[in-house]
Amino acid sequence: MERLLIGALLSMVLLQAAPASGEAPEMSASIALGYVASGDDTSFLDEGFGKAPYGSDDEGPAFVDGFIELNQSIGSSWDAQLTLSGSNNLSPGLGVTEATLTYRPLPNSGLRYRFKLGAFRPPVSFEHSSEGWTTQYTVLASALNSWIGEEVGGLGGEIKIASDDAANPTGWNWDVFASGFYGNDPAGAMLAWSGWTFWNGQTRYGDRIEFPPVPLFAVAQQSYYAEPYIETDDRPGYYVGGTVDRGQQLRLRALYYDNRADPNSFNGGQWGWHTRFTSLAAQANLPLDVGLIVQWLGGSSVTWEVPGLGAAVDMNYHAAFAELTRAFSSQRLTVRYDAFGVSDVDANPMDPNGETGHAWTASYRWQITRQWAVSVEQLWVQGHRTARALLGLDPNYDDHVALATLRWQL
Amino acid sequence: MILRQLQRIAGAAVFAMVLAPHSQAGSLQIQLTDARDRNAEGIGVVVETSTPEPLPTAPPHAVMDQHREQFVPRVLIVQRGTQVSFPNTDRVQHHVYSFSPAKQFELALYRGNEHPPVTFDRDGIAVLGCNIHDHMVGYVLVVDSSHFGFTDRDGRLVLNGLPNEAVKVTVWHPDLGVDYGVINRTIDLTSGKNTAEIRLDQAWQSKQEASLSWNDY
Repeated sequence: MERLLIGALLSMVLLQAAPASGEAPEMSASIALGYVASGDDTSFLDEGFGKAPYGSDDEGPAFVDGFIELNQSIGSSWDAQLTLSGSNNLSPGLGVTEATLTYRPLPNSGLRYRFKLGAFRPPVSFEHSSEGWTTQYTVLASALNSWIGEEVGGLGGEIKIASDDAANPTGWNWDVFASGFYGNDPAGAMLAWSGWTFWNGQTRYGDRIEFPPVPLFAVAQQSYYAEPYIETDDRPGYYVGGTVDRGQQLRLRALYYDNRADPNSFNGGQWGWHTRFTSLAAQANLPLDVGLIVQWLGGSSVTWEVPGLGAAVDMNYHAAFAELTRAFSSQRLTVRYDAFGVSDVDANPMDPNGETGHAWTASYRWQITRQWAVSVEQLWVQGHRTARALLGLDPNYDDHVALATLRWQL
Repeated sequence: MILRQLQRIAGAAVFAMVLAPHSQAGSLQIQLTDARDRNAEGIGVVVETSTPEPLPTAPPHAVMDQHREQFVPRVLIVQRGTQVSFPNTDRVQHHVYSFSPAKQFELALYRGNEHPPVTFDRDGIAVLGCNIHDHMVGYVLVVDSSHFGFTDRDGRLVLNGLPNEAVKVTVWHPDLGVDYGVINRTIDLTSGKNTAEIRLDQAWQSKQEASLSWNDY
């Protein structure tokens, strides 16, 4: 946290010193502190099964999250972007979450072409629409998009072709995109061993998130931590998708992801997890200026297929949420319902991964000035996870966290 | 000219009702309501006359800002020959372009007000985009008239300095639908009529700030 604060302060100084010219990099930054009232569980970031980034040890004043994003244009068609993020229970304070080089020629043919190289996540989330891959409706993201932030992303390229909104401003517009990437072979491990969670943060390159102690690890030589962004088999993965939208009233997106990992590959304590999922997302402006976001994700992950015995973990999973949000001038109210589950396909009794649960989130945000905002938020999660019994916990859980945050943003 | 073209393709039904004259000739008060009889705010009205427009002594000037990743105002009406500035008061850079036949131009990546104004010298509709923020769309309607404006909260617009003749009134807003929802009416000011009520054939609500972000991070 100290490092993040120092980083934020340094950035402020740099920005004050930089001349306001077109050549200076653009910088966005945010830091939030808060007060947390949490439930009895231990956070998933702290080797527990708690659903929030704050567990029973985190009650009281807390660092919430922060990021610094730098964007440097190179000529009029290229830009380079670097995003550093941090959040509670992650060390060090800041780490790289995204680094991209983008080529964006003018759409003079009526089509937009975008070519992106670097480290980035697939565009699953309709919640994370602000700089630094942050949410603006709630503090804690949905279970679905929290998982994307936890362990989905890679190093590669993306091409996107889109219609030009200005050429057809009142009709339907569309895009299609495809990406090939390396370095996301362990995706699925956190979902298998920690379960669905609710998070304002995201894992950074090099982060190691410790799992709850699961007996399987001793047998499988699996590290006791997750390290999502590594390559175990040198086979690239891909995602493809498309979007249609109409006049900022309705937007629909479908995306398919397959990391093509060899489930028997192993590198540095991490197994390859062959993870595939389909994501569907919609957002709409409803009457009375109410905004609606609905997303669904369903997929499967399999790892370590032992001949004659089957896979160590083979699971199907799904998550969905519906969120209603309404801005009242500088204030905003948001309510969200999440439902999620994991079903164990393997017959490995040592390592139950099944889960079913649902959650409600209610959030209030007041943007006091352009730079200062406060939020008050409550999350309630209920569900059943068999693996909790391995740690002597009741498999039925009822977790909750209340957050009050003060955010400064640049 | 573009207005005449659009007049031919306008499909919207219009009911214009001429009220008893009680104000001075040379001005026209337009009262706009929607299909639910609510006052229609923020809709563009252009009045064309057959009397040639006097040449302005200096080119008119207009401003379309870029603020919070939107064009502000999103819809602008200007007289042909107007110079329009596109300052960027956001902290992020924008890259404004138009490929519309009415005006094709590009203001490459910038902040502040570093580009000179753009002269809109042909009638028509220029639709503007931003090469950084795909969802940003702005409209400049270029007309051969100096008599135009937008209806106020009461759905009302008063235009003064009109010649005493039959004038053509055009109602336009991009959000009225396909073909920019153009509606035309001829009002004869010589007969002492100077108030026109125009009713849209659709419900209208001027666009509020969206509750959702349409950014793709």
